[in-house]
Amino acid sequence: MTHTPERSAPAAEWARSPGATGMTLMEMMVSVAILAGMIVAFNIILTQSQRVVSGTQRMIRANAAGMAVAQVIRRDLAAVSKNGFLHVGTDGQSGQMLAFATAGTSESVTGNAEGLGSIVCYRLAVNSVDSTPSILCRRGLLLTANPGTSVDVAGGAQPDFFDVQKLSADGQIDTSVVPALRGGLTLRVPPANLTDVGNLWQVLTYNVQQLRIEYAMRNTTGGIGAWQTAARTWDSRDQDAWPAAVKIWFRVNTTSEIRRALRDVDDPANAADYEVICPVGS
Amino acid sequence: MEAKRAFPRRAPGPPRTTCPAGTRARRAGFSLAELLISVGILSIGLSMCATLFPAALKENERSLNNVLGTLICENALSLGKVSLNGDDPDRDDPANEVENDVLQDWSAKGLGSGSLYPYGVSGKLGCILLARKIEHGGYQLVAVAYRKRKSTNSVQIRWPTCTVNNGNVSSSTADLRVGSPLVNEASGEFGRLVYVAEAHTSGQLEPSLSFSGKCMVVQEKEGTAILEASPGLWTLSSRTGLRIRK
Repeated sequence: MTHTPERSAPAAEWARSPGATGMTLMEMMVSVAILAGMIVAFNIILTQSQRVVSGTQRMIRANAAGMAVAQVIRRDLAAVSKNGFLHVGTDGQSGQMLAFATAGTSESVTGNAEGLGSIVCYRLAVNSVDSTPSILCRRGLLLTANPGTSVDVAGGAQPDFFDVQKLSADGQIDTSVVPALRGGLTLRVPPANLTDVGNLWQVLTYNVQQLRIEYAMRNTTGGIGAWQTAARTWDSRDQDAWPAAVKIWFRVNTTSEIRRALRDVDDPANAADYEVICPVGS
Repeated sequence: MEAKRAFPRRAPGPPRTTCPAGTRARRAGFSLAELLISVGILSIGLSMCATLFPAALKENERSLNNVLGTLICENALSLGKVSLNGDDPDRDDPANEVENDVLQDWSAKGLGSGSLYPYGVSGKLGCILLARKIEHGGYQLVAVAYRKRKSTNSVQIRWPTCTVNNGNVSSSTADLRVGSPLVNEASGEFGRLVYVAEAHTSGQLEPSLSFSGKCMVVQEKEGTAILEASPGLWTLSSRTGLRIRK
C-alpha cells in the first residue's frame, strides 16, 4: 500500500518537528505524578476555601441577625413606660423571659390596628423541627384604649392600655399578664404550612443556643450596680425601684472556621455572642 | 510482509485525514519539558487564585469588626447615658461638671460585676467613652470600640495637636496610627485614619474633614512598644441633655 502525496501532507503539518517523539512511559509517570500532587494540593485549598466561604456566610447571617435583633430590642426598650411594668423571669420551658409595657403610638405587625402602647415579650421558643429551644422570638400585644380589643397575642389576658397602668406586680401582672406570655411556645422554622407562616412574625432569629437576660440597678453614687438575673417584676407604683439598664445576651450557632482562621481564640467554638445593653425607658 | 501484520487490515472506507500509516515514527507528543512548563504555568495561575483567599479573610475580619464595633459602641453609649448622669444633689456643683474627659475606659475595669461585652474586660475587646460639653448644655458622648491583638496588650489614649485639611492630617507628635479614630476635642468631629506615613506625623483621614486642635488617637502597646496599627474598630457619637459630673 503506497501513500499519495495528498495524504502525507496533513501529517507533515500535524507533526511538530521531524525528530520529536512522544513521551516515554517514565516521563508520562513523572508528569502524572506531578499533576496528581498539584490536584491534591489544590483540592486541599478548595476544600479549605469552601469551609471558609461556608463559615463566612454563616457568620454574615449571624451578624445580620444579631444587628437586626439588637435594633429591635433597643427600639422596644427605649419605649418602655414606667407607668406599665417590667418583668424578668422564666419562660416556663427552660429559659429566661423579658416582658414589659411600652407607651406611645404602636402599630400591629399582623394587621392595621393602632394602639396607645404594647406589651412586648422576648423569649426562646422551641423549634418544632428539632424540638430544641432555639428560636429567639418577640411576642407583642397591642394595647388599645378599649377593653377587649387588644390584638396580636391569642388567649390569656386582653387588657387595654389603661388597665396595664393599674396592674400591680405581685397581683395581676404575675398572675395574669405574665402567664399569658409564658408557657410552652412552639414555632417552626422553616415553616411547613400557612399557620407556621402566620407565626413567623414572632421570630427574630433562629439557631440561638442561649438567651440570658440581666438587669442592673442604679447605685448610690449615680452609676449602676452589678448585673442580676433573679426573677422580678416592677410596676408603676414604685418607679424609683426600676432597674437602670437591661442586658440581653444571646448566642447564635455558627460554624466558626472563619473565626478560627482569624485566630480569634476568644470566641467560643461554633457560636457568635451578641450583647445588647439598653437603658430602661430613655 | 502481509503475514507479519499484528493488526487486521483496515476496512476499506474514506481516506484518513490524520496520521496515516507509515508516519507513526514521526508523530510528536509533548515532551516532558513542555509538560512541566505547562504545569508550571498552571500552578502559577492556581497560586494566584489562592492569594485571593487571604484578601477575602481580611474583608471578613473587617465585616466582623464593624458589626462588633457598632454593638459595643451602642452598648457603651447606653451605659454612659445610664450610669454617668449622676443625679446626686450633693454633687450638683458646676465646678464638678466634666468639660472634655475620658469618662470610661472599659479595658481596665468592668461596670459592676459584669462586663461591657462578653470579652470586654478579660479579652481583647473594649471601649473608651469620651464626653465633651457642648453649647446649650448637655454633652456629646463619643464611644470608641477597640480590639487588641493580644489580651495582655494595653490601650493608650494620646492627644496630639493635629491640623486636618480636607482629610490630610499633620500631627505635632509621632502619634498617628493606622485605623485609629481621630476625635477633635473642640468640635467633636471624628474620622478614621486610613493611611499614616512612616514617620507617624502625617496621614489621611476618612471622611475628608477639616479642623485643627487637640485630637484624640488610640494606640495599642505591647510592652513598651507602640504597634503600627491602632486597635480602633468603630466610633459612634451621641448627645445627651443631662449633665455629666466627675
